[in-house]
Amino acid sequence: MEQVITDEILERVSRLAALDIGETEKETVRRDLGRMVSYVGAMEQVDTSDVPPLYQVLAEEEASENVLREDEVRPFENVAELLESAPERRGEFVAVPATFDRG
Amino acid sequence: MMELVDMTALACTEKIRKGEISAMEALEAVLSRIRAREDALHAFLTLDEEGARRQAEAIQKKIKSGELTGPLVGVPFAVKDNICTKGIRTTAGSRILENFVPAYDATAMENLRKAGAVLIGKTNMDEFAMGNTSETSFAGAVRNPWQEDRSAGGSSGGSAAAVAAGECFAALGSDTGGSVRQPASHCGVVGLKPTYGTVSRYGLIAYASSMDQIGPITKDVRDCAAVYDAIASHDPKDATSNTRKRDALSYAEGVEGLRVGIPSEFLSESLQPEIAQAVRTAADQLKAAGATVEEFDLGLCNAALPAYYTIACAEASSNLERYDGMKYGLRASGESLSEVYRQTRSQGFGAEVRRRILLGTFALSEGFYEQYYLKALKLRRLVRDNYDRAFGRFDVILGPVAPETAPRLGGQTEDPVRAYLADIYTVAANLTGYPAISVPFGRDGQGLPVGIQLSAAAFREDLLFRAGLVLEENHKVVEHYGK
Repeated sequence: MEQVITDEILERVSRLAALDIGETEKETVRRDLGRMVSYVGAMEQVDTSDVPPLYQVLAEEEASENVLREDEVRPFENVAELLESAPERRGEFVAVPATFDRG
Repeated sequence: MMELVDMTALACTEKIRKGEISAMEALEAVLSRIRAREDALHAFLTLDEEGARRQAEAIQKKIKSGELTGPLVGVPFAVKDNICTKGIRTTAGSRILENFVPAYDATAMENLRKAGAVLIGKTNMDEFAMGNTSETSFAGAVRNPWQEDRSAGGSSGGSAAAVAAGECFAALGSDTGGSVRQPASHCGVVGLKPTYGTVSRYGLIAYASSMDQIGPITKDVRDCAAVYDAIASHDPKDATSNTRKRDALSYAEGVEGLRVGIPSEFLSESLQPEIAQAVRTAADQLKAAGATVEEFDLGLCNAALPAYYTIACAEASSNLERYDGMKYGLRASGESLSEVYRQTRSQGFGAEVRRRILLGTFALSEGFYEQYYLKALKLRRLVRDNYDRAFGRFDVILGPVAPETAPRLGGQTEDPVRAYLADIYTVAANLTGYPAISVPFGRDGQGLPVGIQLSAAAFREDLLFRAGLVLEENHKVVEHYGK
């Protein structure tokens, strides 16, 4: 079954991914995504009824031997350098745009 | 006489340990090779000459005092630019991280520092490791040292090209669907994707967390084993890091009695005939060394690739949510918070990364989740079960690394899916978590390196080293480094 990438699907997926798709590139993106979706759609040819999904390799066998440790606070020794990565700072804080509009 | 930079890492450190050369001399030799070739190759995104000289000096003192004695002391090495290095820019080949300087080292990086290796720089790569030609880097493509109009493979193309050209003695890459093995194959060097969980992912910029694994790219199998031994460790900072003890690296044992299987599907008509011939010759060599070789039907080979791309893109869409312009990386301007997010991501990510995020978001979205993402996870189990059955009969699976030798740069078609097909032989190791190695095995009619892939059951890297050593014996391409 060929999955058609409608305007509605494209709009919804780009909104969920927080990516803008400009009017000029819209058709290219739609064509590329359509090709990718129809390629991976070939998976339907294999019968997987009664097959449980495999989420994590090598983890199942080890689930019986969970590795636990004490939940200790270990301060990061290099906070100043870490903060330097922030695009904008005020003192010891990372400055971000206003989360809510001031009405 | 062979130049120092064309020797293996172990041969170089042997000279350093004996006092025949200093760590600084090894470093200067590499830097001089970089000056000669780097403009053409573009294997590095960042070079840290001054930092490397400081390290070499400090390490030389520790060698003299007897504090450092391991097999990798003083060896200049390079690290793929998606592995965090404290105080040294780490971009993952993306504009969105163009100015990102990590405040900490990745665990694999820390392990190499402890072993006394000298970091010289960060290597070029496909953006966020998404690609197999190293052309999607924001800084432009890597060139293959063998023929500069060819791709070095990808996504760890910079690491593979740097090792092949003698710009470093060994390098780290990362492998999510073949990104260590395939560029190693295209550049005529050795590349290992270790068992999932043996090398910590702490400090590796995530692409698809359930499949990402850091691995060595080296000039030969012994170097590979030595680097693997140095970087593999249990790490409490990585929840999937494994506590299981690794097998001893007993590559001296040879392959007497080793059961080798070749999946019949791997020798299909779409495989370049010279590579198919190389696989058969490799089989003959292993047989001559005492192994048994048999062709068998592996099954599901064509379903693995779409399942891989579905899972990889789904995980990527989730992992790359963190690039929102708030705490680090690029921040674009915008009227509202949500516009800042969208502008940052739309300006910061390249076309292939955006495509994969969109596919992944689609596969995880309401109405499509079961048909795509869940379906892929079920196929993942079937692929794993097939390999488990195969490893019940065989110790090692032998096959090609890629369907063709290094492609021409700029030869990508408009269809993004066509490029994905080159990963057909490599993704299974990532879906299953099992280890696989790429070993150089001569060259094709155009003079381009051909690689052979060996895979084994979980934690059996030792078998890969043993078989790999037999294959490389007669097919070393090392002597051609540097032309």
